[in-house]
Amino acid sequence: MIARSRRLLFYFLLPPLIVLFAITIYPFGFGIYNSFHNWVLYKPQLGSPFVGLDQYVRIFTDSNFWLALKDTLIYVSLSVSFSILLGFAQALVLSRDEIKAKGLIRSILIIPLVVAPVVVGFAFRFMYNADLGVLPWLLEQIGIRIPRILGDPAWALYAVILVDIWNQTPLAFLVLLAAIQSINPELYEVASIDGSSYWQSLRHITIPLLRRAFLIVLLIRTIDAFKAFDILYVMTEGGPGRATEVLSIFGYRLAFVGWRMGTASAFALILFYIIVGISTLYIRFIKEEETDVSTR
Amino acid sequence: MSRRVSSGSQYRWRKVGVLVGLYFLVGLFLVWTLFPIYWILLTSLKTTQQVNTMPPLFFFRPTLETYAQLLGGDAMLSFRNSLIVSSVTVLIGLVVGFPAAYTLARIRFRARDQVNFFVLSMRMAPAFAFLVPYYLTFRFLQLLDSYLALILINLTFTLPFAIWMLESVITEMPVELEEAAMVDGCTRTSVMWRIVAPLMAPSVAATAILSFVFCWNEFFFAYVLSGTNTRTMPVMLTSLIGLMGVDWVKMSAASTISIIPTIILALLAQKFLVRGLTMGAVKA
Repeated sequence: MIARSRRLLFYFLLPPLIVLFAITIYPFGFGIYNSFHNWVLYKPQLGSPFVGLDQYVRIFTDSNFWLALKDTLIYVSLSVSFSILLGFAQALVLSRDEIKAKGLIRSILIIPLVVAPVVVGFAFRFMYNADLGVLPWLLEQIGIRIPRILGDPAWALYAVILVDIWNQTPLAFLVLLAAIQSINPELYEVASIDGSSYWQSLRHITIPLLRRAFLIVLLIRTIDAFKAFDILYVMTEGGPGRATEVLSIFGYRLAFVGWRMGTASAFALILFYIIVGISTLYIRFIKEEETDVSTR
Repeated sequence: MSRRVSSGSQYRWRKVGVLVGLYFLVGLFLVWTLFPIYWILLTSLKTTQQVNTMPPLFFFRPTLETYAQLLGGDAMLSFRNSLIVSSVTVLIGLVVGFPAAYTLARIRFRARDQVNFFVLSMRMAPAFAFLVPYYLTFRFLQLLDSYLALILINLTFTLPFAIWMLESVITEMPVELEEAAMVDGCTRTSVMWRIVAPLMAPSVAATAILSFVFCWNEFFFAYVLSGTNTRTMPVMLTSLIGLMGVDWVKMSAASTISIIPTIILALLAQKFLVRGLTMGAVKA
């Protein structure tokens, strides 16, 4: 009977898996096929001839691709590191016994994460606005004059990174707070009896025990930052010039401004492999961490 | 003796200092988090004239006029579109995802790890890896600007998400209850629907809520695939950018309308937020 029910279970799994594969594998297969063809939508008379690896060569020889890669690396590294630092600081403060109304504060601090990225983009675009914006005005009150923050190639990228940090800090905060709260409080009691100060406990107990949580936040944040599109598109569309053109905007322009479906497909695969490559590295670290802990 | 008193009060002062410092930090965090939201809320209550003054107005006579205008206009149509697309996507995601999650959690075969990795890798795929093939397909089928197109493409992230969430919850549930029921003659199907599903009600609700929020906020897919008939809220917002600039008051009011439902929903499901956002990598 158990064996029969096993078989039955398999039949439960089949229809959902067929749906899942149909909606995900099909576009992937189609994308791979496209990446070997030259298909330009506004030139239907050309059809879509097979061109081998030409699309890949075209991307790797495009100087704008390397520029976008550089901007993406700056975007990812700054956004990920600062959101994790700020989220960690928030988690540390919120895990102190002295703080009252923790539940309420926690609820408020996670709000940016669930605000639609388009709204986030507009809110900051308005606040950065050269003529009406509240941020240039505030900066001027303390003697800093940056008239056109989003229009200035020197500042635009950092201005949008700040917005991503605002939007994504709650993720780091939530994961790290959960991890801090799962640490056995006796560890801290023993340490404080032995005369360990708060900062010493932080360094020798909290941070080492949070390694796995840090790695997980790092993984998720890196994946998301590589894929960042909505906020950037709404705020600058990659401009001024190409100052904020990260890889996802570069890809969007290939597909829906240049209408080069083949090139865009090849590029989508390249970006996918970059993200998978980095993620696999992190996942390996996380797995190592898990086996370390279990053999300890 | 006097030395002990002074060190006692010194200790107390230090404690007060720490307390003040901590609350100062909490205050900073709250201002940083809330100011942008407060600012669009405030702007949505201004008149165009009040927005166009420098320095920015913090105190003024609020008006709900912009909201009244929006309620009569095409913002409501977009609100309805968002509601239809998000709810249908979530419904399909749960109906298809629940049996899959149950099976993956309860059966021990090797495919399980592979399916899990597959689900995670779907999260790594950049949006336009899906968008380009779907765009070409829907264009060929003349399904651009249809609810079906939006629902199908939203399922590419909703379905993996639902499977992952539900599976991680079922895995933690004791299997004994189900075994007992099966010994008593229940079939797998009735075990799943009569015993597991009711126990899962809170986590199913949370999964539904979070998927709904993701669909509601989704912009890129809808921007490319929707048209005048199926425009969702985020796409409608971008259409408020005109050649002459942006109507900031209207924008702020429409933004406020679109984010209030998601904030309320997400706060209801916040216990599951960590698990959902890390795709089960952290057990909260």
